[in-house]
Amino acid sequence: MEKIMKQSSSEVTEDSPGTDSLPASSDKENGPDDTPVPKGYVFINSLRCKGCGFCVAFCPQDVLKMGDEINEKGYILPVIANPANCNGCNNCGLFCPDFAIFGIRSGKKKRGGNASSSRSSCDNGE
Amino acid sequence: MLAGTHFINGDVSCAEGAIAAGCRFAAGYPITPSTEVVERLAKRFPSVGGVFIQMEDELASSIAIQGAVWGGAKAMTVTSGPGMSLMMEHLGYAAMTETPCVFVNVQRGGPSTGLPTLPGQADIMQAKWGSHGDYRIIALSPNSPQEAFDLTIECFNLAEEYRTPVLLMMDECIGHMLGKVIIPHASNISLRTRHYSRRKAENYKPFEPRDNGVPGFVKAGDGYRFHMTGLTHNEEGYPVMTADAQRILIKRLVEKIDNNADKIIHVQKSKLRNAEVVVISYGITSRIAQYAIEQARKEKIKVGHIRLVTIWPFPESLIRGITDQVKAFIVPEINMGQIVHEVERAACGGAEIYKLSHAGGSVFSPKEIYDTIVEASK
Amino acid sequence: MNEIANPMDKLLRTDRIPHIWCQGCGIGISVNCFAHALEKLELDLDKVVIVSGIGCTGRVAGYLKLDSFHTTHGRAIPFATGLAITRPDLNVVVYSGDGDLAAIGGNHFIHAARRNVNLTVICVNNFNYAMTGGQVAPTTPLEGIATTAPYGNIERPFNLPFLADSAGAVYVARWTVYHVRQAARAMAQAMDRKGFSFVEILAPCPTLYLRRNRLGSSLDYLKMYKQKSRIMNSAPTKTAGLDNKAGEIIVGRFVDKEMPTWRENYDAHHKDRLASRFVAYGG
Repeated sequence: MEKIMKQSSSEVTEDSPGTDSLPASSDKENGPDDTPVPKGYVFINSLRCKGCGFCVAFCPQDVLKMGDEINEKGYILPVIANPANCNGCNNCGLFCPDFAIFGIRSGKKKRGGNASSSRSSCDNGE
Repeated sequence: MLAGTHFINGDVSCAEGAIAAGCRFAAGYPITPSTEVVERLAKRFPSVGGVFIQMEDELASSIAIQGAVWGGAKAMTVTSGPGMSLMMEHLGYAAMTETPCVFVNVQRGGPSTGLPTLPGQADIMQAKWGSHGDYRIIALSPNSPQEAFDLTIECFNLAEEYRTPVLLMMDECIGHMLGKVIIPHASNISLRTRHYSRRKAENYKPFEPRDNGVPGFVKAGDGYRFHMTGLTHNEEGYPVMTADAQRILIKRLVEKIDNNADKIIHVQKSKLRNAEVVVISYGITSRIAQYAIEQARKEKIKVGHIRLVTIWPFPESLIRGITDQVKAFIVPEINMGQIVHEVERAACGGAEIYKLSHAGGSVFSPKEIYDTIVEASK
Repeated sequence: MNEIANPMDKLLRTDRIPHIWCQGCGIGISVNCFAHALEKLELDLDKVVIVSGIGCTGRVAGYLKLDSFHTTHGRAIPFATGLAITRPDLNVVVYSGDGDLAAIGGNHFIHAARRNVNLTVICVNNFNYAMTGGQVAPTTPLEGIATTAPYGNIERPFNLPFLADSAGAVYVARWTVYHVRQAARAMAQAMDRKGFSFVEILAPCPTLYLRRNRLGSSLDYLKMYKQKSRIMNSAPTKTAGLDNKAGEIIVGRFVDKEMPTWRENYDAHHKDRLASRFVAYGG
């Protein structure tokens, strides 16, 4: 069964330029009990993923890493290692050849769309 | 449209037929003896709302017309033997994607470069079998400049009715023959309009056949977001690489024409009822055959004539039906024997077959056909 | 239970995803860029048409949720020409590979550029014929190993931007699939421009070309793109060959000019010659 994993993150950046000039994570905003409030979320569609590793390599915030789990087709899936770092820049989404991952900034959580294969349970980290 | 009486050649007449049929897009490449068709279209189109583009080769021409068709146009391309060979892949593509369009082959001497300015009728089997794979086409053969006009219209109508490519098999003689051509008023011309699907986008399947086996058409830009491919496909138009999908699709494409053959076939029959000998001919040869037959009938020979107006589908049930009655079939063609094999197949040994071959470059003399009629009637 | 769909899903035929392209295939990234380009342009997607040829890149037509035509090998451009010149209301995009567009389709490519047919041509160049197993292509680098050049390619490859430019293209750009944002922007610009716009997208073919030539993984190749690319907007296309001595991959927007399209020319010219007798197509 495919899984969509969503995690929280930190700083929101403006329209990010090239991969090189993305800032490192900084200025995390904290919530009332001083835990970091997510500023971006990443969603992974495990059925579509082919384990190429681009999302991991091109995430400027070290949010992702290659995991140990494989999907139905035998591809190694990425995992969200440091959710707090995510700023929703969507570099992962831009580089993914398979439309298997995307990042969005908090406050812009999208529902619906053509969700035939990406519907599934959400591992809620909040 | 130029309603009225004209003195024009078969090529020009064909172009006028296309215009009368509503053709407003043509793509072609110069090749003798067909060039006059596109020259006429290039001249006439700007004043009738048409677009002609001379493409860089026949491969481009034969698919540019299909692009235009999917944008909503009625479209035609024109060529001769060598160009027809180049167009074969796209003839198959049109058959596979059920794209209604017209291909005109003004046949000349072949094979290869052959005799560019002289007649031949040797592309008949190529018309049917020239592209790879199993498919059916419809092919018509005019024998006068008037018919070049009339049958071009019929080609467009058949193309729309069956969503298939249709060939007009002219030959150099008819193409370059000047003759009286009466162009009727538009109101007197019966045109088949394209059947556009009335389904909504979410219910539409590009290759779902209607009751007559023909899918409803849609054109690009109408919000259907359809997919069309030359790969074996399902009703949604998506490629499916299985033997089952192949069987379903190919069977339908073939039966679409085969099962409607009796509606499509158009022959001209003359004195078949008591005929002992029947001549089967088409194109320029039919004019000479007609003369030879008339001479033979003066000698009281009971000779009938079947002129193939549609060459494909071939009227095999007609032939089969009279085989028992006749002594012989005579098949003169300006080739080394093509339609004669269809006649042999239909007659199934039930009558003698006289194959009159001609390598091309000129036409039969009436005497050749007359002598054979006399011989066959003995 | 959340239903979170990829924002790009509305542009895809999701019933056909996952697509057939290999792990790490650059074509997939290019389609991603294209989807973003479409988003950015805010075009009426009912009026965007995709025409592709045969090959791995040719399969793009089957995955985008637009009116899409998967035509014959090398003939996407003439098909698109027939459509584009009769339907100037449509935004016709040809999306195909290097072999399809520059070898068998080469003749049509140069003529459509010469005619300035209003088309956007996106050429994904992965240096070989991938679908059929990795044969040599007119874009394969010298010495590149391919199944039909098992001892190395002996032919000079095309410099596609130069070819397009010399043939008359009005917009010419090249990016790699590493340059996701720039590629998306270039595709958007190309679709926005009138006339024959050409965008070459360099992409890794990890299963075939990279493997046979021991060029590492697809990720290694993208990192190589990052390292070796040099952005030179407005560089003379003649200098943009991929065999340049410094080993650089010149990327950027090379040509961007405006000229009447074929159809505009056809109409204007015949209107001029025929005056009131001229009747425009569709009119």
